[in-house]
Formats: sequence, C-alpha cells, structure tokens
Amino acid sequence: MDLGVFRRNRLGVWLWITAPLAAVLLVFAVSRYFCLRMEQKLLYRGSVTSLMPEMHRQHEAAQQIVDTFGERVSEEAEAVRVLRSRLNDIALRSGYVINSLSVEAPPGGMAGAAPCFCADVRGEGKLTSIVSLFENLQTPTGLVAVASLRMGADQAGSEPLYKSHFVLHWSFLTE
Amino acid sequence: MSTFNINLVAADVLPRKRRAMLFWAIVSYLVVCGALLVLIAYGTTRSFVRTASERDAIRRSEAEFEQLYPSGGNTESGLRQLRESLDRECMRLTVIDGILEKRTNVSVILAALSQGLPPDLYILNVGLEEKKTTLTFDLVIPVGKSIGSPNASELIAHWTAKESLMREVSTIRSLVSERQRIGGKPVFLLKFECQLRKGST
Repeated sequence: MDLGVFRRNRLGVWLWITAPLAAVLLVFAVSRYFCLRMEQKLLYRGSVTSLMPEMHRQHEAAQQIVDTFGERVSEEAEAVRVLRSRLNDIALRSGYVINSLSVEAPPGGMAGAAPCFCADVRGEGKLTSIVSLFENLQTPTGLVAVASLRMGADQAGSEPLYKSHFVLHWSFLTE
Repeated sequence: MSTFNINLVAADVLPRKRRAMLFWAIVSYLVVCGALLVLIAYGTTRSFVRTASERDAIRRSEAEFEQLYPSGGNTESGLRQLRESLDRECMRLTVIDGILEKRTNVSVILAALSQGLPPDLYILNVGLEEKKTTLTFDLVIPVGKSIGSPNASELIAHWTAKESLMREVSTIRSLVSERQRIGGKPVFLLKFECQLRKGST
C-alpha cells in the first residue's frame, strides 16, 4: 500500500477514516429504523390479535346467555305472530279461554335491545288456570311481565270462574 | 557507472517502522468496520427472522379470526364489529336483567293467596294497576260458615308464613271487612292490600 497517498491528499486521508465509520453508522441507523418500525407494527397487530380470543369467548358466552331468553326476531309482524301463537298455546295448555287479544307494537318499532310489545288480554278461567297461565308466561327465561291485572269471580262458590283482563309487557330480542 | 539513489525528501518520508504501524492501523480499522457491518447485518437478519415468525403467528390468528368474523381481511374493522356486537349483547343482558329484576311474579302471589284456604272461602277480585306497587284482593266468607272461619289477622298470619309469597310481597294488610250479598247470599267481604316488593311494570 502506498501510504504516500495520505500525505499527498488530505481529503483522501479523511475519506479513508470517515467513510467506513459513516457506512457502519448509516447501515446501523437504517436497519435499526426499519427493524423498529416493523416491530412496532407487529406489536400493534399482536396486541390487536391478542384481544381476539378473549373477545370471541366473551361474545360467545354473552350470545349463549342471551339466546336462553327466547328466539330472536327481526320484524314486528314476526314478533306479533310469535306472541299470539305462544300466548294461545300457553292458554290452551293452562285451560284458560282467551276472549280477546290485542297486541300493540312499541312506538320505536324493532329498534333497541329488547323491544317491548303490549298484549291486552281478556278471558276467563278458574283460578288454577290463571295461576298456571302466569306461571307458564313468567318463566325464569321468559321476558314477560304482568303490567296490570283485574280479575273477578262471576259466580259464588269454592272454585269460581274468573273473568280477567290483564296487560302483558312482552319483550323480544332482536337479531 | 554506479547508480546512486539519493532521497531528497528524506525528512518528509515516514520511517519504515512507522509506515508499517500506520498500514496495520488502517487495516485494523477497516477490519473492525467490516466486522461491525457483519454484526449489524447479523443482528438485522435475526430481527427480521424473529419478526417474520411473529408475523406468521399473527397472520394465522388473523386468518382464524377472519373465518369466524369475515371482514375482508381488515382485522381491525372485524374486531371493531365484534366489539360492537359484544356491546349489543351486553346491552341486551342489561335490559333482560332489568326486566327480570323488576317484574312481579303474579302466579306465585295468586297461588300462595288461594292455597290453604278453608273450602268455602274464595277470592272474589284481584286488582293490580299498571306502575303501582300494591295488589288488592277481596276474600269472601259465606255468612253461615263464618263461625270457625279465620279472621283477617289469622289470614294475614297464614299468608305471611309463606316464604314464596313474602319474596314478592313485603306486607299484607286488611283494608275493610264488610257484610254484603253476593248472588243473593249474605257474605263477609274482606278487602286486603299487598305491598309488592317490585311493583308492576
């Protein structure tokens, strides 16, 4: 190696000293920058994906619990049809005779988490039938509440027939 | 003819020893720089390999998630949808809890009030108004059978002993006791009022 070049060209000297160092620093800085960027992106994606299993589990559990409270309906007409059919079935099983039934849809339609329909029922039956009717309506997983009730015996005796008028608040789960 | 090599710049020329030292210093410096570059390349490659394996694991999780909740490959939006759906379910559960928590179990009350009564006694009327916390009812005791029949306080004691009833009702009190005719027959009419724990919706 001709070291005389260093003596003849001072710029050459500094280039020989600084260029390799600059190259090392540049490569280090660039690789570090890209590595950090990639790690940050992965960290974010990793934190997002780490939430998935827990959220999925919670979602499944919540859905399972909600689904125990009856089938989900999407339309008002469907809800009315389900309400009428359920009420008639339960009344039939309980020995209660429904004389009139009118269903009022909630003012907001099917909006909200559990839209509440009002069922105005008039009918008659023995006290045991009425008890059985309410027992079957207000099951632990049935979203039915008795809003008002009027009943009166229309004859004297130990097991009279009762004429009754009651309003039910019947909530449905939407899809 | 003899040839003489005369160094005219002897003062400016570095001695051999010093030249060798400078040479090796530069070579060492370059070797160190080269080694550093290799080290950096190694570190960077290792980092790439590690992040690549992490990325693969994340991609696998994302693919599984995508199968469950299709979101067109956008995991974030899929997760947002899942979050919204979870919030909806939670809101439903809150509403359900509210409905079940507030409702009065009418069947339990009616069954408890009517069971265990002497055969001639019967409930005449029951009334529960909307958004009220009281349930009223009338009990009929035929006049001829009134001797030996329980009086109002005995009836209240009989009812309050029932646990199932007392879970729905906090107090039962007698309002009126009067003589009336029902179906042409004279009877004693006892009016009662139950204070409901939850009230009607």
